[in-house]
Amino acid sequence: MLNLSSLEFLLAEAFSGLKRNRVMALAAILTAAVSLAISAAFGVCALATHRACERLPQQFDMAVYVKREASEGQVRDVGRRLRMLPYVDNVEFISREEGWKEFRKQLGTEISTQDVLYNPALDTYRVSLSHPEQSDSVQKAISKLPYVDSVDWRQKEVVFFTGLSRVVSAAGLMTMIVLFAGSVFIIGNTIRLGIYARRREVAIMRIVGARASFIRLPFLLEGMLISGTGALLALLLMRFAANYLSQVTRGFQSVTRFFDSGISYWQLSAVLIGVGLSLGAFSSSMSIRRYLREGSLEKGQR
Amino acid sequence: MIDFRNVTLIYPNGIPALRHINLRVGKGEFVFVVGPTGTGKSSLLKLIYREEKPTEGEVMVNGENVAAIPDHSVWQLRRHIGVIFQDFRLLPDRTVWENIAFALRVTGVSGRQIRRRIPEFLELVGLSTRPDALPAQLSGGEQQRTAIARALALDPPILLADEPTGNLDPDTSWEIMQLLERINLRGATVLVATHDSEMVNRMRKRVVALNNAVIVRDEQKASYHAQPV
Ligand SMILES: Nc1ncnc2c1ncn2[C@@H]1O[C@H](COP(=O)(O)OP(=O)(O)O)[C@@H](O)[C@H]1O
Ligand SMILES: [Mg+2]
Repeated sequence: MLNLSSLEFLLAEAFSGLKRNRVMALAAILTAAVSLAISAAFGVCALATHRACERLPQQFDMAVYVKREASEGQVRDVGRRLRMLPYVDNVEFISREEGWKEFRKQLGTEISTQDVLYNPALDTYRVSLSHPEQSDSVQKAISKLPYVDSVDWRQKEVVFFTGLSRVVSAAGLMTMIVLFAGSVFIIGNTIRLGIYARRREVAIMRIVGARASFIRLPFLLEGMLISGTGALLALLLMRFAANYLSQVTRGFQSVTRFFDSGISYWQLSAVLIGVGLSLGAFSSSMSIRRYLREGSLEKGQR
Repeated sequence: MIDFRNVTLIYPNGIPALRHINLRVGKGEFVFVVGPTGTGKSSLLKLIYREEKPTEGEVMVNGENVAAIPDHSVWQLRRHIGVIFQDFRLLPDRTVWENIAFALRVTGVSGRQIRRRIPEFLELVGLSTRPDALPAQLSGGEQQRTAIARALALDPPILLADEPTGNLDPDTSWEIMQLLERINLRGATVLVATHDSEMVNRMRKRVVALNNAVIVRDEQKASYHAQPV
């Protein structure tokens, strides 16, 4: 149904709508750009901290020490109970002897078992968790097990990283909601003004028998042009910001490598443009649905 | 072609614009709908192009109950009906040519077809020399001719004219009427709502007279004498 000259016409109408409403369109483009850039920045940060957290389990295993007086069977029993706990991913047994050997190796000294009166190490289970944010409750559960001497874990780091991840995600989500609502409002308003400015055209389209979809399309395209341009601007902005950040953090590559979102600039572009176009389409549809309803031509004319 | 079956139209504010209207208009007829202002002439036309729906009764166009057409299909009905108004409703920032082209573009006519058809319709309405004029540069009669060309550009079998000469002087009105008659002779069914009795009397066509929302008279080759109000 849509031939080439119709498409050309629709695009021309959408562009002329933007030109007619220049100031508002520019404001809408900038709002969309800022919203998309900030949202994308939050998204990248949230992804980076999330990925950092995912790598935490290996680095933040728990060490469960078994009481010295426990018999061999009782030690094995502790291991069995550990494996049954929720959120426990992997349990590895390290005997007193192995632990002692390792300890000495780490010290790098050549003291043999014979040199000391007794082996100070305890039988140990190294426990890794599937959900590091559950460390607190898992630790409590483990402490209550019989023959468990103590549990050692790097509580502070885990709490910090899972907390950070949660804060970044929550703050990001809130900010995104506010920014997107603002964008929808401003783009929607631009389209509303566009509909008002073109009410004569709309009235004539209706009376000569243009399809409803055809009447709506220029406004839909207008919204998508606004947010699409906004997305391109946002990408440019992020490119600059990324370059600047990588210069500033040149000396801290061990840290920056730890916080890697794992997505490329091209993936980000695709997502941002996709989200941008949907944002525009959504905003203009809201206005179209509200202000372009089949009403009287008189109302459309005046 | 057009068939009103016991049609009543009451606006949401409670004003009855039309009451128990029975009216048949055959293919190729030329009909004046006359009566004082506020008697329901415009409302009667609006029921035909589905700008309003009857409160009671049925309006049939081409054997189809107009009120039963779903909203998303009304465009099909509208392409069968050309409508012109007292205030012309031209787009002020577009030329004569562009105004006509607009109607064709938005109904999916190709650019080649548009370039072929517009000169033909400009010729028909007598505007061949002014395609590049803006509405503000035209006389009222020329503006109405542009509106007529736009209404005809999709070759609708029905042409509705709501007070087409209301803003025009008698000579120009007469020219527009003759143009409408020519369009009628080409095969279109034409309904003209007007209270211009002088013109109605000169034309000697079928006259449907409305008063207070009801049809008070329906005669062939009739005249019309506006009652003193
Ligand atoms: N959209 C509307 N809402 C409410 N009342 C209307 C509307 N359109 C017309 N009317 C009323 O209906 C009556 C008939 O109006 P109309 O059909 O325009 O008459 P005419 O064209 O003969 O002047 C008038 O009383 C008018 O005020
Ligand atoms: Mg009227």
